[in-house]
Amino acid sequence: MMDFLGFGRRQRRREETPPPRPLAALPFEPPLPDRAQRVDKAEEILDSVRRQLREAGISEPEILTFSARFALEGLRIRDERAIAASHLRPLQEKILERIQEKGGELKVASARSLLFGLAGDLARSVEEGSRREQMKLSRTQETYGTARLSLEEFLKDLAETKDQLASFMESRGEGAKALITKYSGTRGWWQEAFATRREEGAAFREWVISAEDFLKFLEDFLSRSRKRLTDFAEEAKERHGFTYDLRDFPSAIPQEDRQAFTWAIKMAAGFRGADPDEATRRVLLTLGILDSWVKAFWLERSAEWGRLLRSQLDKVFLGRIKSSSERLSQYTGLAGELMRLLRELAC
Amino acid sequence: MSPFDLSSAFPSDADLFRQELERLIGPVRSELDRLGALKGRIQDLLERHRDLLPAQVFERSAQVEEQFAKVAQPEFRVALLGLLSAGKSSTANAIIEQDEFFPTGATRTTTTVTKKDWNMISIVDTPGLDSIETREDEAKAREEATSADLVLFCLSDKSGDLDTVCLDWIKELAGMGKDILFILNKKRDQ
Repeated sequence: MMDFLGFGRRQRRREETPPPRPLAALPFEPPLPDRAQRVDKAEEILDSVRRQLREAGISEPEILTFSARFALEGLRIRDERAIAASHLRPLQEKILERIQEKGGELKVASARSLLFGLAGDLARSVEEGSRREQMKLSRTQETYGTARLSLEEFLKDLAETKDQLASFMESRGEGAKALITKYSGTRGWWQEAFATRREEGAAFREWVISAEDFLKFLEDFLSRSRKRLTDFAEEAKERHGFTYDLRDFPSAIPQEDRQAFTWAIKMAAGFRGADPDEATRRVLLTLGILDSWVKAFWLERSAEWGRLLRSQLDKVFLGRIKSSSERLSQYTGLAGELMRLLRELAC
Repeated sequence: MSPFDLSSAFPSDADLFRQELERLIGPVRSELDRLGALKGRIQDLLERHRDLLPAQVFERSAQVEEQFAKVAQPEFRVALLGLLSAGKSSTANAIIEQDEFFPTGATRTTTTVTKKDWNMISIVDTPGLDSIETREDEAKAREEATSADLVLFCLSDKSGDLDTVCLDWIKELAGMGKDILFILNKKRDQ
């Protein structure tokens, strides 16, 4: 309906009683000659505008006919105020309606939707991060288990060779010791033994002659052990991604020890023809050096190898496991806080 | 203040409108405050766990911060658009019931975007769309129109033919899904 509220009434009132303040002063004068004609014209304009708005993409255009100047002029005058207010009210009501329907609720819904979206992204990231961390932890634990098993197998293998060495050492050493104990204090037993080619003499001589071979055996043994250790470390790096630090592990007999070792052998080898007591002393000394070196350097230190290697492995993997577990715990805490926020957001 | 501050002269009608605005916008403002606080807590959560989360979450958070600032303005923004002398300023004055807050006249009176915060609604008057002289002004008018909660698009009742400038703007706003109320401003046929 194109008739503005109050316009007809105002027109009728004007016809009945001239207003105290001439409405001619208002910009709404003069009216069209014929009211019906005026309404038709307005309807025609409205229809045209509506059609063009539809063509512009507004399917249901909401059009409010309004005269701002009429409203403002009318609001100035106490007698006109009610009419002007009633003319203004539809516009105010439209604004209120929009605030109610699309303004406030839309703002709140949009704001809430944004936060839900962010919280959703965050939740997905937490879930994804937690899943990745869990997988990482599982992989680390698995790798640690395999690497540890592999190390224990290696150390067990090493211990077996150590036993072989100990056995070798013992058989040589004990034989010589037994001879010395048996003939200790008996002057000239060496000469006698060698001269008569008695069994004891042959055994002792064999021991002395093989002492250098024994040194060589030890060095080979050490070299082989070192290679095995290096191979093991390379395999560990390839299979488990773990690099052992082998700097503290000897690859050969230390120079000082080797010198003492060869010196002792020479001493033992030079006993023939010497004073039997002195020879005995030298042999015992040689045996002592050999025995203590092998025990100290190999039997004891090889045990230390195991501790060192385990320590390296444990330090790294247990550190990784601890770190992963802590991160998982943080993810759990974050997820909990997020859930609380989401519950509050949903309220 | 205008000598015709009608809201103070006749407080009852204006008060009703204000009360209704307060009734509608008050709870919205409270809820938006609550949501704003929740947003702060989410961001605090992000900061505290920065090392656990991917960079994309923080980029998203920055986007949300920006969008939230636009969306969560408690005031309701009403922008008036239309051609020169379509009655934008007069309509704006009528809404706030102040006679001359937004200057009106037969010639080009509104040359820049003018805002008035009134009872939790922010009313934005813009220059005539066919009289915008600089790109900056046009950009500003566009920014106001796009950020408005409601666009009051003033059309002249002189003719049923809409100007192409108007139609272009209307199409653009409609494309954005903007809420538009068309006002066929009656100027001569009273």
